[in-house]
Amino acid sequence: MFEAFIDGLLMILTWKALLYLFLGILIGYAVGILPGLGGGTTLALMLPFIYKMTPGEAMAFLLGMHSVVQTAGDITSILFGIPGEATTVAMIVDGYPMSKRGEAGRALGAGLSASLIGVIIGALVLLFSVPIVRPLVLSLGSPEMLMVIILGLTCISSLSGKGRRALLLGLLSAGFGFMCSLVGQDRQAGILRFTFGQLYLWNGLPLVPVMVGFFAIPEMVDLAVRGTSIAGKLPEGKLTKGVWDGVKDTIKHFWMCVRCSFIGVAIGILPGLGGGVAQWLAYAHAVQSAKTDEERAGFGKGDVRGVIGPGASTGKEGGALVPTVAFGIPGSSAMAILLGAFMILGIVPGPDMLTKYLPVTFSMVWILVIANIVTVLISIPIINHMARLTTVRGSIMIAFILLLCFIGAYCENNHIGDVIVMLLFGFIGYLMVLYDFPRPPFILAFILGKMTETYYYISTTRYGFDWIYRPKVIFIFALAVLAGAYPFLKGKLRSVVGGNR
Amino acid sequence: MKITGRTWMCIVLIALSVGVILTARTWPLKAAIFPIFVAVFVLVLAAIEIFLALFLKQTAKETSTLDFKLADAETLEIDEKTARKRVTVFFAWTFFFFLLILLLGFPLAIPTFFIIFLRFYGKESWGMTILLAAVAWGSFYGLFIYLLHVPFSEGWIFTLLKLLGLWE
Repeated sequence: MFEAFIDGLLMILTWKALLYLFLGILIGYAVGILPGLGGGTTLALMLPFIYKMTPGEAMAFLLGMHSVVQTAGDITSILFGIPGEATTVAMIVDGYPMSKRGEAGRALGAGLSASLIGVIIGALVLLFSVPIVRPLVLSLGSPEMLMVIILGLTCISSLSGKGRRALLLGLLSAGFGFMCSLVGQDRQAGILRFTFGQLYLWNGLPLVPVMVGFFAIPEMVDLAVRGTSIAGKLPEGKLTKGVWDGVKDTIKHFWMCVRCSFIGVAIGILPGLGGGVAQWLAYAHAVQSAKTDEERAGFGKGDVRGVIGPGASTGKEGGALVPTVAFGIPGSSAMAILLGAFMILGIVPGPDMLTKYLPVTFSMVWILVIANIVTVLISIPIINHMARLTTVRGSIMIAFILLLCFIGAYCENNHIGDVIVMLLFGFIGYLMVLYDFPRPPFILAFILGKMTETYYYISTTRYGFDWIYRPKVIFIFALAVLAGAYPFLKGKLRSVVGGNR
Repeated sequence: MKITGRTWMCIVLIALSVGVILTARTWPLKAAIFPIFVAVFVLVLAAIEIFLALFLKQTAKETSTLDFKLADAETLEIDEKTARKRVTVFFAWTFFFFLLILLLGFPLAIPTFFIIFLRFYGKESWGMTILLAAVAWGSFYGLFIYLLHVPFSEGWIFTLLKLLGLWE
């Protein structure tokens, strides 16, 4: 096994594989930074180029590209408040306020270093876990997956506000997200739901335009109202000094970072939940880690832990590779495309990947680590220059960000309808921010809506309502109830603990 | 008893939920059950929120979220009216950009918007305005048209001119 591990490294240490790796990193970096250009789509676009490559070269190219997309996407989220990737939305919540406070360098330093830790942990999990995870993943059926989604939504809903009304508002927001996900052709009966006779809406509301509008437009309204640059009227020197502070912050909150990485890994392993969910749950955990109400109140206003948590969720990449490689079950849409790449290369995922192609499997571990180390090493020297972008005049930023929003939305389907959806959800997002409706539960429910319905349908069709009594379902549901009750119990628990002391 | 913006949003959500329930009744059960469940869920929660907002005193802490906050006029030392005006102006410019895209198509709308926006909203000098418009257009053209070959639709004006035989 050790020999295969070294063979895996040697596979990517050839000049050709390294060249493809760097090319992949470069493309992934650009794709990650530009909103609207999705990592999955780019992966698909690059598939025709791998026909003449060896498995090692192709993996270096594709996986190198894919593994840096989220890290680069985090940069856009922090600096401009626009999700660089659909999976980097949670980074905006605290990263962008930090930029506005003149701490863009610190936020980027923390985000990148947390991301690196996340990827390394994900790669280690990939290395060690294939034999352990197999029975776990295969034991989760549709009812359990449905409950995992409910658990995720309850967590994010109860943690998205400060008061006891948080759960109510969070769930209301999630319900609205589910309602928006209903648009399009129903998967079970083929009925067209709320398409208003528009062919464009048959596939449902497109994800990227919804997210770009939902998150970028309110930030730009804010910029327009303030009439200053993103960082306001802060002295420029402050911006460029925080990178190492950010790295130190990650070291200071190392264990939280590790826990968030494992959350990423777990979500990555569970098929279909995707990177956006991993970031939000990691964010929810970061909020949960606050010890007092005062500490928690800092989240959403630029708490560095709100950057470290989502940053560390990059562990999902390693996690998502586990079911893809071992069982041929892709953990995300990007992994499904990677699965297609395996087929092109003549590799059949499954036992072969643990025997015949074991060096290829191990080369993936190396690629994840090397690609992200290179990305961080490239980024750190230029972070200060990137941070200076936050001092550019507001009107210039608005013009360029609007341009990115319009193009980013349009490129999803090359349809003007995407732009309209972006504007509509931009306005809805603005109203939600204005009237204190938490946006994270909406986005999570919107992403998971169709999947939730499918799991619900399969569960009911297959088991009737008996699925409710399955032990794992009861266990996960109990966790969800606990998560929901957390804001109510927290104060009482504290007074009990305080009283005992 | 004051009806806030949030209460109005809840009223809209209730109306949407009722709409979903009424529409879903005509669908087969397997297509309708989830929408109805979600709509009833939203309806009940929105009704509870309205009840709490109207009949229970709420503190600022109870109603605040862990999300991005818009800068308020008080902190910025501007009056509410100015803040509202800036929001309206922003949305008007956004809509103007959208309108330009519809009429001229992306390749022409981008430099046009940049020149008008930066000159009149941003009050930049002509030199800076033209330079930034060129950078925006150049990046757009180089990346999305030249490299990625994204098919951008032409503007309505050109479609109309083609129909009239005035443009090829």
